[in-house]
Formats: sequence, structure tokens, C-alpha cells
Amino acid sequence: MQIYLPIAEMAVNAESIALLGAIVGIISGVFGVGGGFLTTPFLIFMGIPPAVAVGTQASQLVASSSTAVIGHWRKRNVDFKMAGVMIAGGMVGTIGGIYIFKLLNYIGQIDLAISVLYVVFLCSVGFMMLRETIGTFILHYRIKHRKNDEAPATESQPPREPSRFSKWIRNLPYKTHFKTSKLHISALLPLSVGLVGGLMVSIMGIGAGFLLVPAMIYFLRMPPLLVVGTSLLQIIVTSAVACIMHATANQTVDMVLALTLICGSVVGAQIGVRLSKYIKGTMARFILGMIISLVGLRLAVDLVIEPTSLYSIVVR
Amino acid sequence: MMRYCWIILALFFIFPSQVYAAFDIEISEPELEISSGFTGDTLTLFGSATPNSDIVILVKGPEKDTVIRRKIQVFSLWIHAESVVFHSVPSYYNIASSSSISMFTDADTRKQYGLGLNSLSFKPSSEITPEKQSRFQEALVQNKQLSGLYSLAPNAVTFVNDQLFRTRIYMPSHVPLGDYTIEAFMFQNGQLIEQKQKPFRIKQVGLTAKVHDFALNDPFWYGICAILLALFSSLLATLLLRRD
Repeated sequence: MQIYLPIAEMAVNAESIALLGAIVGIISGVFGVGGGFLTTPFLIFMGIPPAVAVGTQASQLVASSSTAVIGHWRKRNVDFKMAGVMIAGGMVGTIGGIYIFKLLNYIGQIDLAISVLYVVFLCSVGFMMLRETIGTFILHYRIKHRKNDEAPATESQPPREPSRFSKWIRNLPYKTHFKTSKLHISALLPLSVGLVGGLMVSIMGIGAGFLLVPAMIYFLRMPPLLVVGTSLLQIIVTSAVACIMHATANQTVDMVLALTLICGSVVGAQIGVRLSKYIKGTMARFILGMIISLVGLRLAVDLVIEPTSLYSIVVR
Repeated sequence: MMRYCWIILALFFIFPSQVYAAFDIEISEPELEISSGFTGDTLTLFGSATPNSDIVILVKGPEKDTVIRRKIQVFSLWIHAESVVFHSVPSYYNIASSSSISMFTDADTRKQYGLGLNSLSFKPSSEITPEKQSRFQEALVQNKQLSGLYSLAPNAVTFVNDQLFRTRIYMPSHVPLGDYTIEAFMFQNGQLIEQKQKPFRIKQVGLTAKVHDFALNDPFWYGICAILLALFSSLLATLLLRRD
């Protein structure tokens, strides 16, 4: 079924948009990431202008993340104080990002900027996750095999000397106590994580969960159980702000497109939450790492192969 | 409006020689309405002309400033490097004729009236070399042709009898909105005899138009609504699909 989009001013196939939403919903339910890193490139690939894809994506993120966050909320897996600090940083990032987006769009480099940012972030995060998870797999394999032969392995490494970077982090000002996460860290850390998240929501149309989740685990050292719910809450608020900003500054939020995507994603998210019981821990991170790396590599290929047409036009 | 066309058509068949054939055109609908089910549409255009004349029908969309950019390879990445802004480029351009235009017109006439994709000339926003201008203009036309917004249809104007002609003009789903002009030219022995012009409009109607207007007139509340819609639908789905 073809459906006409009032803001993009074109007709698209409704089923494929809804299917895209469903896949993104499943991913967000299982892994606690918004899944926007899939939606934006695919929407652009379907011929939707990048500005409309990114703007609309913001409202779709609100839907897919809020469906998933309700589940985590009920299990009390959300650190509200941490989310609050991250949101404050996210606001600043979002507003700055909208203007960067507008500028890039004007000078004609938005497509390139979006692609390059995607490739850099997706590939680096994807490869990091793969390296970490494969390392864990090997470790588990070794422990299991040694158990059969001899006494339990003394795998525990001697505590490493703290690096200069982690010392610097520990000495940052504005130390705050986060009760739910049982952490005593500088408020600047979650603030800066939120800021990066906000920038990415408004420039790339992604909640950046794939970046926030590892950052919160490895950088803030939050308990992994709380990370997913907390990052989702931060994503909801920053993408809601981004949505209003895109609507007022650029008029690029297409409600019909958003609703079609949402229809797919809310159903997908429910499936995802259920699936998340079976896909856990290292395995989940491994699968997510694979998906992220593949999307990143695919976009990298597009940047280097010669385009079919060297010229592109934009009507002002 | 379609009915009138058929009446005229019928009259011509009944009294082919009695009706005085002045040069005129009539469109099946003076407005094209786009609603949520719009997937492109074909306009039918009727007209009458003096026997043995050549007809050109030109449909032009609203004129817009258009940027065309060229990619070059920098460190193996393809990036936009050169760009040219052309003023008043028709967002839609469809030319249909009774036979190949170059058969019955000379280059000057084509240039003067902008008949044919090669006879268009756009004004660049800044001084550029003629070579660059023609290179970018050619690329612009080609790009528009590929996206289905520019087209050239020789022999698309067909004569029903020796006075009455008709043509069909296709509008793709991403056709630009706004005020169009339909121009008709009648040539005889290479001379332009008469020229007629009709306005035409493409607009959104119904829910599609409401969403479009809301987004443009009240962007802040539109953004709020988009968020509420998103929250509401996800809450609804959670309630409906909840297991317990």
C-alpha cells in the first residue's frame, strides 16, 4: 500500500516502512538501544530527504524507547538521578546539534556528515563490542575446560595499576552520590555522556543507545542492570526536545511517516522485550556488535565506491 | 470539467466541419488534489486547432532556486565539492508535441519559448564560465529527468480528428506542490500562429493538507503533538500487548 507523506511530499510503501519500524522495535526491546542507527540510513535509502528522516526519527525514538522503558520502570531498573544529570547535558547537546545540522544542510555536506559520523561511530563501537565479547567467550571456554582437568583456575588477574586517565576522572570536581547505582562520581561524567547523546539525536537522528550503553558500563561503571532503563529515559527526553526543535527550526517532522514507523516499532518492541529473556549478557552484546559493525561497514562502502551520478540537486 | 470535454469531443464527431476550430485547450481537472492515497496521476488535456498544424503542450511547475552539486573523490571519499545555484528553475517540466519539435521549429524559436530540454536556460546566481554553466545545467536537467520531474514526449499529442487533439501528462507521486502553467503553442509551416496559457494547481487536501498546514503554521505545537502521538501509541501498545 502506498501512502502519501505530507511533509516529505512524496508517496512511500507503507508496509516496508512499518517493517523497518518493527525490526527497529525488536532491537530496541532486546538491547535497550533506540535502533535509530538502522532507521535513518534506510529511510534515506528509500528516497526520503535526510532532513525529514532525521527530524521524524526523533519522534519515533520517543515511541520505541517509551515502550521499552515502561518494562524496565516496573522492574525498578532506572536510576532517575543519573538520568536527570544526563538529560541536562542532553538538552545542551540537542540544541547545539540542531544548529550544526542546519549549517551542514545549507552548505550541502549533511549527507556526507551523516554518513561519516555513522561509519566512525558504528564501526568503532561495533568492533569494540566484538573484541570485548569474543574475549569473554574465550575466557569462559578456558575456565570451563580447565575445570575438567584440575582445580578451579586462578584466572583472577592481579589488580591493575590505575591509569593516568582514570586517576584524572576520579579527581574531577562536583562529586555526587548516585544512590540507586551505588556510585560516587563527578556529575561532569554523566553530563558529558548526555551531551554527546544529545548531539547525536539532533544530527544523526539516533538515540545513540549503542554509544550510551557501553559508555555507562565502562566509563561511568554503572551496574549493567540499571544501564538500559536509565539510558532509555535519557533518550526519550532528549529526542522529545530534538523533535520539537526539528519541527520549529526546520519543519522536517513528518507525522504520517512517524506514525507508520511507530505502528511497526511498538509491536516490535513488545516482541523484543520478550526475546530479551532468552538473549542475555555476552551473547546479546555480541549480536548487537555484529549488527552495528555490519551497518557501519555497509555505509563505509557507499562512501568510497563511485556514485552512479556525480551530481545531486537540492530545491530551496 | 471532464463532461464538457466529452461534449466538445462529441460535437466534433457529429459536426466535424461545421464547428469552427479556434485554437484552445481544456484540462480534465483544473486542480490536482493530493490526499493520503496519492501515488501519482495522469492529466488528460484536450484542445482544438486548425487542421494541419503542429502542437506543443508545455507544463511547467513553480519556479524555485535550485542548487546543483558535483562530487569529487578526496582521499577515496566522494564528497560534494563544486556547486552552482540556478535561479527560477521550473520544479516540473513536461513537454509534449505532435511530432518531434525540431521538425517544425528553428533553434531561435525553441530558445525564445524554452521548448525542449536542450533549449532551457537557467540563470546562475553568480558569474561562472559558460562551460561550467552548460555542464551543470545539463546535469540538472538529466537529474530531473531521472527523478521523473522533467520529460520530453514527442508524438504524445495525438489528433482525434483533423482539428481535435489530446495528450496525457503524467505527474509522479513526488510532484512539487504549487501553481503550474500549461502553455499550448500552435505552429504552421514552422511559424508560431497562436499561443494559449492556462493555470493549473497542485495542492494537498484532506488530512494530508491539515498535517502539512499544521506543521508550517504552528510548528511548536506540531512538535508537541508528534511527541504525544508517539507516547500515546506506545502506551496503547503496551496496554494491549501486555501479558498479565
